[in-house]
Amino acid sequence: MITWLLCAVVVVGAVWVVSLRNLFRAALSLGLVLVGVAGLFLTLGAEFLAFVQILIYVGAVLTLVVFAIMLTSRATSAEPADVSRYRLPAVIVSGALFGLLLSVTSTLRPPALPGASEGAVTVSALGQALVTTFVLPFEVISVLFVAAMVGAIAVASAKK
Amino acid sequence: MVSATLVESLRLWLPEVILGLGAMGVVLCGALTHRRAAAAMLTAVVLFASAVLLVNAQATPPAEGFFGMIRLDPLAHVFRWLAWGVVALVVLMAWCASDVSPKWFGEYLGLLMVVGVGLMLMAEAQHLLMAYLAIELVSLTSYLLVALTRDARSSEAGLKYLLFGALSSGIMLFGMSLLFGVTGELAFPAIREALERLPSSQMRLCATAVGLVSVGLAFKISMVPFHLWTPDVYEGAPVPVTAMLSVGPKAAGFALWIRVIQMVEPVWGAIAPAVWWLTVVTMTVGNLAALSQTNVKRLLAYSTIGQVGYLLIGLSVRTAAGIEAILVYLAAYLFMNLGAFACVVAVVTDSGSESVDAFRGLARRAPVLALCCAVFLLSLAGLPPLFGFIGKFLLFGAAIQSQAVWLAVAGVVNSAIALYYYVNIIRQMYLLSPQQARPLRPAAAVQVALGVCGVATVVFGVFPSGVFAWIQGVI
Repeated sequence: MITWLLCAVVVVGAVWVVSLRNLFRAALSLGLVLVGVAGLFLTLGAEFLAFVQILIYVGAVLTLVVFAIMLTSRATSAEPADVSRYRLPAVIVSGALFGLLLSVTSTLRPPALPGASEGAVTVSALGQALVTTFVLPFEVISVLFVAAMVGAIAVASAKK
Repeated sequence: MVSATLVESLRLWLPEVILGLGAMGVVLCGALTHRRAAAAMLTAVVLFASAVLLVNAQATPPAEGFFGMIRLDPLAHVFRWLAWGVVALVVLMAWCASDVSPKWFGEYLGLLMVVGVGLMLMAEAQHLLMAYLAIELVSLTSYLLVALTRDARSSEAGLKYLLFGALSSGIMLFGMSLLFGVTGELAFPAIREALERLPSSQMRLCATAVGLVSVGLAFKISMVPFHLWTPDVYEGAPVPVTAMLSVGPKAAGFALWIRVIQMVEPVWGAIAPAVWWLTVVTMTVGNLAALSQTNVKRLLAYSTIGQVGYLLIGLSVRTAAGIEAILVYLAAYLFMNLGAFACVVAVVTDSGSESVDAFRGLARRAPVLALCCAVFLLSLAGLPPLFGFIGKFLLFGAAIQSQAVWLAVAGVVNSAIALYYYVNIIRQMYLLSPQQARPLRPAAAVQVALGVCGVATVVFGVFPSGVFAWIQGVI
């Protein structure tokens, strides 16, 4: 029951994100989606993931998005954002993709969920995995972040 | 305590480690010294060191590294060298081009080297997570490199690239998550095993997942209909970055796609016809659109799409001969396309114009440059006895061998169309009179790049046996 409620929250929020004209409200709807997804993680027994989802996406990413919207002028006013010329093709393409996904996933039956105790992954196990099995992705992400940060600063300053 | 697997993996992966750490060093060096020469010297040292380590790595037998995250086999080695070649040649061009402010030269070179690491990783990835990260490492750095110049066109190109790239990554991630959901595995060999045991009722779902992953890869290699970003991004980016984008991500994208197809062999049959048709569409659209271009970067962008079409032939036929042909053609493409871009760097730096008209009368102003340029363009068009001809010959041969004669016919017809716009530039250079009379002397580093590419294009075209010996045993 609570799962369906969360699903409804996520779907409604996601529709708002793309349909609301006011960018600020769209950003807040995005927050709703992110919190809803965190809730879904909780019902699936992934407590750590839910916690990280709230901490990073709601706490950091959404804050950045809101900052970006506030700092760019005009965006907070009720003035509508430019309407895309390609609305109809966009609706058709996404509708077709949705239909395709719906038809191919309709045969799937979710496996029985593991109980919270057996499915839970401890934080120390996660930490262990990060420095053994997943050490290369971990390091590559670090390089990626450094490069992205350095590049972003260079791009931002080069425009002055 | 450090595990033995980790030490062994690090030893095998040392070229990338040096390149990655070197990239950070170059960024620091540029920021601290504010001297272009210092950053460039350090880049040269790092590139040389990683080349030496790559030569050493060549001898080792195929091995898995980092707990099955990457696979270092002969196929990966070929692409490591291609990635190294792209970075080295583009750094040479970047040294001479003036479109990025000297203040940011360290960052510029550092980001190029990070792209190099990403390209190598894309070809080595053996795990969905690793494949995704490698693609993002290449993509995110590329978006920033595209936007690195001061003009508005560059920012627009960077933003467009970012939006298209984010969309394609999203679609690809969706496919990957479906694959994971169905098979419960992330490592390529495990997914392959799981797919073979799959009940037929889930085949359609898997085919859809594979299709979505393929869409992401198709964006990366600018396959029609996912090519729309290519001309705008190529036009707005600094010329050396355009050169890098036209070869690096294309080669690495093919490497990853080859591995993905090997992984999803049991369900690839459902996607194959679409790829077959899109191969023909890609080369035709690229070549027809190139005919009417007047900006040389846009022209080369559409030419790239056409070339990707030829390369896709090797992927469509799915034989060992096809993959060998892809490798040979990518090696040829590296030299001829980067050579052509080196000519563009020389002309654009001199005239400040990116129009095809800037090439007018080049033969009188810079005879050697014009000759090199003609060689590269004729090789791109696929005329013998140049390296491009060998690659095309193998690709079309692979198509005929596996009864896909129509692919070969489409390729030959397209080569004829492409000849028109390649020869048009040669006509501008040789038959029309120059806009300015003063001689054009390309900078020394561009001369080196031109020399390397020119010699390789001609020598491997006349004596291809060296390349064959290198490629043989990869598949």
